[in-house]
Amino acid sequence: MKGVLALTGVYKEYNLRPVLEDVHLRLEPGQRVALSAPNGSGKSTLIQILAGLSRPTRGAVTWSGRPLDAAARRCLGVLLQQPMLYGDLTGRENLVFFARLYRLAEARQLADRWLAEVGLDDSAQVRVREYSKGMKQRLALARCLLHGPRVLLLDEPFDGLDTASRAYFEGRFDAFAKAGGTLFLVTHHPEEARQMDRQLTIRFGRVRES
Amino acid sequence: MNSVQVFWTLVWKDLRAEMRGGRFVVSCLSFGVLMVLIVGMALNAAPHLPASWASGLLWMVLFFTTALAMTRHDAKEQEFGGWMGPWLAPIDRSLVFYARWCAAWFMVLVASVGLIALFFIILNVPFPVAFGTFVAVVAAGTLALSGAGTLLATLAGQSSLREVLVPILLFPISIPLFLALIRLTWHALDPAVIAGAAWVEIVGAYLVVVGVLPWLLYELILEV
Amino acid sequence: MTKRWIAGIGVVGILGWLCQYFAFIGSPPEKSMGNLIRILYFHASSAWIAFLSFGVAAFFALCYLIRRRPILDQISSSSAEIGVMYTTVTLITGSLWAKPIWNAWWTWDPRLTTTLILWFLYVGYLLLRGSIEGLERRAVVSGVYAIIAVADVPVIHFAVEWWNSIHPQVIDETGINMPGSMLFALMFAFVAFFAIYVLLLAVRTRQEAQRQRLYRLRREIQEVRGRAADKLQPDISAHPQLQMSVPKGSK
Repeated sequence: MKGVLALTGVYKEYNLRPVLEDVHLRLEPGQRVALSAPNGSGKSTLIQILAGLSRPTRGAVTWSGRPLDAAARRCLGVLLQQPMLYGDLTGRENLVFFARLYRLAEARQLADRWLAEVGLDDSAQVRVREYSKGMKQRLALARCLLHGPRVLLLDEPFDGLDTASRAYFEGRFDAFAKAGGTLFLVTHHPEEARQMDRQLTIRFGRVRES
Repeated sequence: MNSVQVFWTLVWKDLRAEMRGGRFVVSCLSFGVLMVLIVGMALNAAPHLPASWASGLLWMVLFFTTALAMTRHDAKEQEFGGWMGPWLAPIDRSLVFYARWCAAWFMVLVASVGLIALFFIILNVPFPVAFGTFVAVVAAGTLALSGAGTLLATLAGQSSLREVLVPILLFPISIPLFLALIRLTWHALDPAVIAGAAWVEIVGAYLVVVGVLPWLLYELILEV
Repeated sequence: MTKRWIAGIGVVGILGWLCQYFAFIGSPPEKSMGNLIRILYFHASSAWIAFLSFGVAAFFALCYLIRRRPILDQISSSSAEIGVMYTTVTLITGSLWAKPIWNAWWTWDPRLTTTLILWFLYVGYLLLRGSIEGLERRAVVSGVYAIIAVADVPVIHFAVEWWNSIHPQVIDETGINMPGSMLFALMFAFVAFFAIYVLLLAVRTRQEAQRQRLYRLRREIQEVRGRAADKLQPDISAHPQLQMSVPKGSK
């Protein structure tokens, strides 16, 4: 199922100050989009709105023309700066938990497969609290890919990763885009943005092509 | 049908995290027992407590214990941004509340079994005459209390005074519940005391309100 | 300050003086408690207004949650604040009255107890509201709490009443038979307190709205400065209110 994730006329105010103003954005299938802007310009807010975590003050978030509801959230994979994992559960339990939340069949086997995929099968039985930053990020990657999303929303995914992990992540994302997935990457490194098909920036609350 | 499975998945997550060293039950129990001890000393080791005092003290201990534990339960969700995970999943978001309520209730119940046993032993309170009623009152009381606590802990979750604020909000809001539970427990300890149906209705009303309100409001509270 | 404000303050001032006249001079002393009855005019009216203001707070909180206009939240929170003040007045006057009559500053009378719990409920509201970052989030969270709190008030009242029904020594105030002149003084006090409430609500809401406006303007000035520092053309035309006030030097 292909779909377009779109924002139409989105405004978001925080502390009565407009963070985003009249944002119109269409993320077409197969497109790789980068958003790079300085700190505090509303990047994170934008990605939270796209992910359905934050509600716009005005305007609409749509998936294939329909409002982003619970069913549409299945098509999104989200990787933010926080890994969104539970520290007291093991890596495997975290994945089994999320697989069940997405009502995927054979959650255990799926979790094992993904752990092997991101190279964490040795640490599957270790609590996430004891994971290093990079391990948490790998597990978070597995978490956001395991239900087969159509759109990936990434907020600084390469932060704190070593070169090898970074190459692995980039390879993963490229394969995802080649398979027809939409990639939306928030970054503050211009060279990362340049590798994408389309570069956006936020200037004074408005999203522009750059 | 599917919602029920998701609900149990969410409850399972909380209980599993607790078994992996969440220490909700342990901290509840040790704090509660400590309070029982302090109460016993404050009463100058009274050899015999009237049933009305015993039921009042029992619920006071349970209220404090639950209020403190709720904050801890909420903090776990925030740690690695875990709460956003279920928020992104294709599920009805109010299910998250009901699952947390259920898990919190289960843990409070486990802690209160130990707590109540020690309460009866340390303060030398006679075994409840109407034991069935007593069990029902404790079960319903902790259910309503943990529900209100979970809701208020979510409300206070955004506050910088979170730890202090949960008890400050929970106690005034649940005073009718407190009075009802004391009266019903008193009745269980000494069936000669009549507890009006009104008290049962109050406990019922709390359960209904805590059951319905989050269905409408929970998503609103946690919206960023 | 506009003429409307002066007129409003004038009306409230006149009502206040008349209220004191009726309470202290115009109405007769009561048969059994003598002049102590006079405190009732202030006590009962502030209690009513307190309940009213919490109701108003919850109503506007609900409106805010539906419509999301900042002004609705400002009215709601201002009303709750004033309600706390009136509840405090109620508790203090009640205690002053109770000391000579019941020979205690405090008894577990249902109404007293309910009022004290009410006070705690809304002190909790103020603490909650004061400790949340982000105006929008603060408004949502405190709005939800205001609605829950108001829904809880009748339950608290009935529960406390049933609870205390075994205490036989509770004095029932409703038995007081009130002559017309006293009733008039009481009703007049109620009207005067209501006028004070409306005035305070208007002032407080306006103050809050202006504070938020000032805050927003300050942020906009910072933005304009930021743009200037970025050597970008400052887009002042988009902010007509700033055209007069862009500062020349920086801090």
